[in-house]
Amino acid sequence: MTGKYIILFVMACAMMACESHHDDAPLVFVGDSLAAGWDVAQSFPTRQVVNRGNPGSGVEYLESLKGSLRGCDAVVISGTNDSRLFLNDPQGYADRYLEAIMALEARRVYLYCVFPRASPYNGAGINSKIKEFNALVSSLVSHLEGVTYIDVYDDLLLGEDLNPNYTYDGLHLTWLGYQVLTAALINIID
Amino acid sequence: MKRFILCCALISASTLAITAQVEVGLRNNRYIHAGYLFRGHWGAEVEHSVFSETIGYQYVRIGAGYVNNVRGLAFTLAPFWGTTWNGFFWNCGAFAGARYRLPQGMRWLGVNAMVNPRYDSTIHYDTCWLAGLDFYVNSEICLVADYTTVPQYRVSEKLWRFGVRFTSGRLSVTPRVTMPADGRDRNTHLQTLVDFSYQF
Repeated sequence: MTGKYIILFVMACAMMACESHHDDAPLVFVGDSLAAGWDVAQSFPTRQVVNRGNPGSGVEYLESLKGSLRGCDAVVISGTNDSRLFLNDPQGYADRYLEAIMALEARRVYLYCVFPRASPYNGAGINSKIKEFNALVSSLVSHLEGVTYIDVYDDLLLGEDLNPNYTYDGLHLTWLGYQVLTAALINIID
Repeated sequence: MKRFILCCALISASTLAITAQVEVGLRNNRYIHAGYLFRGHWGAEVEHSVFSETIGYQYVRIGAGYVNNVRGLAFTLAPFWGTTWNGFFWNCGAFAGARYRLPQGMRWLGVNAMVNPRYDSTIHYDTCWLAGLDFYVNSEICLVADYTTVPQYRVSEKLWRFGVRFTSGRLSVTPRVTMPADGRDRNTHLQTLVDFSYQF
């Protein structure tokens, strides 16, 4: 009989020890096809996750989500489809981009940098311009409360381009690419 | 191209199985393969990815090879060529491997090694390799451990892999845990990969 109580006690202790330290707030992924292609349920099995990635979208999509992420934690992966906008007017676009992100009204925002590209999407020195834009956004984000900037740009590189292991087509990510994003986010959340 | 690959799939032979004539299976969760072995030594194999991607970016690889077993030393030489259906990249190379189970008194231990020279249309030439140990628990269970630089996809990665190979009749299943050996965080880059094969 005592043995049963000991087993029950040990099981209760184990359950308490295993209890998640995460918040219960849903982790909502928003952005373009790079967000949409992420199997977030597999990457974050202990979190409540929702993927609202919208392939082909840009800052307009983020603006359309105004106020819709109240009480949630948001993970934002966007910008790639707006390269013309941020090449023409980096400061103007960055201001609009961050305004859209703040307007989500998420409890916390985890904002990924714009990712590097590989052939055939890496023409006209686009990667160096993406890097400059990332530096601009990073400096602006440092003044914003509740926004954490996740810079995985260098982690995704092989030489000057997106590592071929991390992409199927020069732009979209493979499971190995998403592993890099997952590792970076887990390190910040935990 | 599709017909050619289909024909290869139908007549291909396993470059790994020595006694079997036909083998089907899965490698690293994401690559299915089928092979055919001719006269116990000469074979060919076709492998196809099952990525969460459109068909254009799926990878197909064909290979031919020679296998033999000399005094307990099983060895394989298998050149290959692979590409995505849309030709986004191609690669080629060879797998040259050997597996040896130690003689009486040390039968619980085996060693294996492989060299993989390869060329990728973007990354160009690289030489990858694998070295591992097998610990035979009984005729059906074997603990496997290896260090490899052979790519999972295209670029070489340094990985430690630990697993168990379960063999029952013609079926072999090997679940493995992999962890990076190149400075990446081991906790957040753990993978569980499964290989299986069935021989007809």
